[in-house]
Amino acid sequence: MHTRKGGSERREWHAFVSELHHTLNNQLQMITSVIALQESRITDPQIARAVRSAHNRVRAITGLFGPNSSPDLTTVHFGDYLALMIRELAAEYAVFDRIETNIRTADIAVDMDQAIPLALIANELASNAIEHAFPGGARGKVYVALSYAPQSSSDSDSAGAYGVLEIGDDGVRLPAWVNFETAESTGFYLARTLTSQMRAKLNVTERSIGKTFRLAFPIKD
Amino acid sequence: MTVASPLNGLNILVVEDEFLIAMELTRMIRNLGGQVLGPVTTVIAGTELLQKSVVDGAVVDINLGKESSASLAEELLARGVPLVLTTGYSEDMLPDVLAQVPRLSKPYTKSGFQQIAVAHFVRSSYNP
Repeated sequence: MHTRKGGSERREWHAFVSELHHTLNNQLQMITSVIALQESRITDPQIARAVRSAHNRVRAITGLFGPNSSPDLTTVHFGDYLALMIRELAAEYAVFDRIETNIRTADIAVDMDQAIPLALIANELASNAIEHAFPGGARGKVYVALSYAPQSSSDSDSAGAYGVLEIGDDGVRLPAWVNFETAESTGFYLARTLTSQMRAKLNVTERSIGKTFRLAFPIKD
Repeated sequence: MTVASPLNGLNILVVEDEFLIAMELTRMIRNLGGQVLGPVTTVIAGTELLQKSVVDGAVVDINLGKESSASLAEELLARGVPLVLTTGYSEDMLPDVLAQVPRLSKPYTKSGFQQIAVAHFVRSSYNP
């Protein structure tokens, strides 16, 4: 913790943090570049899908350290981050011509230690919708919403404020043999595990057309 | 120019000292139909290419490890070459003369790069 620093000391600290930021961002760029390089050389569709999923997960994390993070990297403007992340995910899957993304995000500042699992959960749920909700090249919509509630309700174990992330689609229902609570796929397993880590609650509502995943998570004051 | 190859016919100079990042930039530019000049890792090498080649656009990392590329970026601006800076620094660490130059913050993505490259290079080189 640094307080009441003199002018030169403050400048030195600012320069140090800037250099640290630069080094971190450069290294994060190298990580995503080397995965992209690997991905571009794979011809087996199943392996390509697995590497693309890994790439999406890494990108979900590295994106947190971009323009939407605070200078000291302790918080993220998660609404802006999420909108950008979803647009880039849709671009990576090249589905703009058949899947419309409807994004509404409140500007919520989220601690970095909470932002990482939140980003990964959002990535899993959105990727799942884009990949599986519209089979056979069907058209449809993916809905993403982030909102803020000042007080807890039955949504959350926390007594304080909480955020709500909703990711839905108007595509097909989950296959009959897939139970979200027990499914062993990496995506759903990650989403459930990280939900526990965040002390959040995640549920899915299925409709005759489409489904919505809803995550209620505590926000630190 | 086609939608699939928006950089078709354009020579894009790449100045980046990290080889892995330069390789990925090269791949992204070629996938958009562009020709890559370089990649080069120093100001001197970039200046030499600039003097002997037609440069339609440039992607320049502002920090080349042991040197700043600010002088090369300023030379590109002076010659009217459309320029995109890549940097891990925040905006307030850039020289004033480069503050208004389009900037791609690291870590950037393929779609982020594509968006800024098409918006800047294609529009800038379009002379009906």
